[in-house]
Order: sequence, then structure tokens, then C-alpha cells
Amino acid sequence: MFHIHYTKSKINAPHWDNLFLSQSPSKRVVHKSHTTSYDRHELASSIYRACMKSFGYAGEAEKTAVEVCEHVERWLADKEEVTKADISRQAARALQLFNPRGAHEFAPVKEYAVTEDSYGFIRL
Amino acid sequence: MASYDYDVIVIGSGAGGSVAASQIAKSGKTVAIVEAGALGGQVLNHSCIPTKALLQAASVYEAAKRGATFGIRASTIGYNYPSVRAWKDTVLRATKKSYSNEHYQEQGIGIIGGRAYFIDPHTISVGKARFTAKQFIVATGSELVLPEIAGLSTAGFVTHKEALDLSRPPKHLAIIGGGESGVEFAQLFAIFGSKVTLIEKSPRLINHEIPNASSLLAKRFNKEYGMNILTDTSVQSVSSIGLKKKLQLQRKGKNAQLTVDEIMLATGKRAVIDIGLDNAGVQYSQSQIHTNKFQHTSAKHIFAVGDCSGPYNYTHTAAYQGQVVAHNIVHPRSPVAAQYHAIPRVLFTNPQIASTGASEAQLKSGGTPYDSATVPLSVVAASATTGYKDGFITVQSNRTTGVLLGGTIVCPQASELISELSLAVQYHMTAQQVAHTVHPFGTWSELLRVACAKLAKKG
Repeated sequence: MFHIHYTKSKINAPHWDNLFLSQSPSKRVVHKSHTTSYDRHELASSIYRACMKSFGYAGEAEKTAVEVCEHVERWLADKEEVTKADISRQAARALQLFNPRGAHEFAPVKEYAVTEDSYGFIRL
Repeated sequence: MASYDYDVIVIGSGAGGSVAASQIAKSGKTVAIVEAGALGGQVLNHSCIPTKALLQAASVYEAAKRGATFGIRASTIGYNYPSVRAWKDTVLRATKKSYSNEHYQEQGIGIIGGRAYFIDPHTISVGKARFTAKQFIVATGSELVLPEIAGLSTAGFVTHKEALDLSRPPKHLAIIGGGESGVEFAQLFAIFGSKVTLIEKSPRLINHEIPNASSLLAKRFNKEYGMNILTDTSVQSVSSIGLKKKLQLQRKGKNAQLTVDEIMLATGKRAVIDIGLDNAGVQYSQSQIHTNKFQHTSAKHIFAVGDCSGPYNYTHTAAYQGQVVAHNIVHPRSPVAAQYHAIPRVLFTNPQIASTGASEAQLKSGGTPYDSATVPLSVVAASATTGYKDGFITVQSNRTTGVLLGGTIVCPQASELISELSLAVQYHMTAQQVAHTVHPFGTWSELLRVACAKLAKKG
């Protein structure tokens, strides 16, 4: 008797510092009872991972991550404090525009799961 | 039991929010208003009050120009636009006293300056602080919808806010949008000498009013002010040529160009809903926050009033909803429902257009049996004494019961006359009852009596 152990391969995000020239905007993000600062790298990494999980190319995933972060930060501009769920929702909406396949893999928001993507694939 | 900073926090200090806050504060509850801009909201600062002040100045100027008809002569009739703007600012200063910080503090209402954002159902974040409340009223109002027109933001445009503070009327103004705001500003600038081109996507102006009113207004705008009215027309792109702006238009499949000095956007409004409603469990659509007849949102402790909840974008509707919500918060065991069957709708053009209740189209689509009567202005003495003939009144009643259901008035004092018709519709009066009420001779109010008498004869 033996077991086969599947290990999840880790998708390494690139060095985001090269892609973002400016610093993350200073915003407070509430998650459960904690408050942290908005972290662009964390968001970009999660977008990158979602794009890579959907069999995307690294370059495309990086570009999407940057576009999504810019979209989220434009929305964040007039706000001081938001929740982590808000950021996920905004990111999911942007991801739907920039990379619908990646949006399906973007874990935080299941309500935006794609049923039929722009390529005609039916997702169950 | 959880403790909160306030019993009620009102988000927005416009007509709906301020009425609700004042009434709730009177009941002894602790209330705070959160306002991101100037106290008083859109109506006071950028919409109704300043626009009506300018329209009043324009109507005085227009009346003076027409004095010759009545044998009045003046050597020079002109205007000084900075002085006209100064009049508007005087009106604003006087009105703002009723919405000042001190005024609210006298009533025991706290004022929190900043933008509110829901962090959880009972907590909002405003700047660096957080506030909690047992109940909330969302009265965030609406904002202008910017149409997707290529090159528009690069070429530049003005909205109703900037149009109020222009240093002088533009020589040639293109107004995109022929709704309420569009036609009011079109008339305002046309009276002050601007050449105005009004561009509307739909087949007629003010398409929420009856077709006869729209066509009469369009004809009058064209005849009296030389206005260029382009219905069924969409703006494809905008570019700037020096100080001028060039619009690429498309009308019934044909392309055309228009060069103007300034572009004004009056393309409609949408609810301001980006306040973390998801975190509070409030359901909403792109256009409005969903409420029931008691103005409850999907979160029981959160109410919504005014433009952000619909169904009408009028100051008086927002104030009415504010009263309804205040009652429902103070007396939760005997809630009242908002009634919308006699909401007056007014357009401050010349002639004014005012309507209330159900239109003929609504009655037809609802399958209600009805009678309708239309009377021109010329049937009353006021038309002869004022020399004003363009207009009419149309009223509808239930064919079976004779109860008045609605109507439209197009005449110089329509904004005042509509209240009588609204009262009659609100309290289910019959056309015969109104017809039997004595109205003063020589006034426009006789129109309603004559129209109701005509309607009563049908029934």
C-alpha cells in the first residue's frame, strides 16, 4: 500500500518592482478584524497566479496584473479605507475585462465565475 | 446590546437627507450627517437653486425685450453677465443659511465632513475615523453620466456645475442631451444670446413628457430663439481646433460636422452607489439602490432616499422620501409607505411644462379605461391679457369613476398650477368636483376648471 502525493507546483511571481515604478498608494484595507495597508505586490501576485493557472503566458499575466492593479488603484483614489473583499471585487471586475479566463481562476470572488468566456469555452 | 456612536447616520445632506435628519433629531435620537461636498448637496449648490436663479434673470430680460408688445419702450435693454452671476450667488448665499453647520448643530445634528464608506453593516469609515450607527440613511444623490465619445475629455466640456459659472455665455454652444437639464440650459443661454445646438439621441426632446409637449417646446425653441435642434442624432467624436471644438455627428445614417465654442453635457444622471454597499449587505443595480415601499434597502437597518433610490430624480420626491423614512425610523411599528401616484414633475422652460400622475401612455399600457380632455390656452382670459397662446392642458380621468388620474400643463405658470391637479389626483377627486370649484377669473388656473368640465361632460 502506498500513496501518491501530489505537490502543488508554486507559481513564482516576477519581480514586481520592475513593473511598478511608483509606490503603492497609502490606503487602509480591512480584513476581518485586522487593518493593513494596501499592498500592490500582493494583489499583483494573486492576479498573476490566476492568469498563469488559466494556462496563460508569463508576459500576458504580468501585463494583466499591472492593468488590474492600475484599475483598482484608480477606484481606490478617492477612498481612505476599504475592505479586502472590495479590492477582490474590483480586481475581479477588471480581470473580466482584461483576461476573462484568468477571472475564472481568480479565487477570491466566485460570484464572477465565467460561464462562457470570450473564446466560447463553456465553464461548468 | 451593542452600543453605537449614533442612533442614525445620514449619508448626504441634500433634500432627502437633511429633511430626514431634522425630523429624526426632533424625536430625541442622536443623528449625524456625513457630507463629502458642501452642505445642502447638489440641489442647493449646483442644480435647482442656482439654475432657477439664472432662469429668473433670463425671464426678466426676455420679458423686458418683449415690452414693445405691451406698449413699453426702453432706450436700451441689455444685461451684464457678471451681475447676473452675482444675483445667482446672492440667492445661493441666502439659501445656504438654512443648510449651514450652525443650523444643523442647533437641531442637535452632528456634521461629519468627508466621504463615507461602509466597512461593515453598522460601521462607516470617513477619512481617518470610523463611526458606528444603529441605522443608516443613504442619500448620496446622483452624478452625471459621462458618455463614451472619442476625444471628448481631450477637447474639454462643461457640465451643469461649470455652466453655472461661465464668465460669459458662449457664442455657439452645443448641448449633448435633450432631457430636463439640457432644455433648461439651452433656453437660458439662448435668451442671453448664445447660438444653441441641442443634440438628442432619441426622436424627441424630453421624452418622458407627452409628445405634444415635446413638439411644442421644440417648435418654440426653434422659432423664438433660433435654436438648432438635432434629434435622432448621436455624437461620434469630438476634436479641438484652436479654441473651437468640432463634433462629428451621425443622424439617420448620415454624417455631419458641427463646430462650436463650448460643449455642455446633459446626458443624464446615475445613482452614487460606490460607498461600500456590498460590505453592508445592500443590494443595488447600476442605476439605483433597491428599496421597498417603506424605503428599506435589502439590509433592514439601512434606508435609501432621493436620486440614489429612485423612482424620480426630483428634489421634492427626495424630501418626501426623507419624511417617509424619518417616520418609519421614529415609529417602526406603524410604518408608512411612499406613494408616487401624484408626484408633480416640472420643467422651467418657456412655456413651463408640468405634469402629474399617470400619462395617457401609462394608462394605455396598464389597461386602465380612461377619458382624456385637452384644452388650448386661448380658452381662458389670461391668454388674451398676457398675449400668450402656445400651450395647452390635458387631463385624464377614470372612465368608470370619473376620478382624476393625471395630466400635463404647458403654459407660463404651469409650475404653480400643477399643485392643484396633484392635490386632486392625490386625494382621488373627480373631474366634476374640480369643475364645480370656483376659480378666479383672469388667471391661468381657469384652464384646469375648463379642462375638468370638458372631461366631466364626457363621463
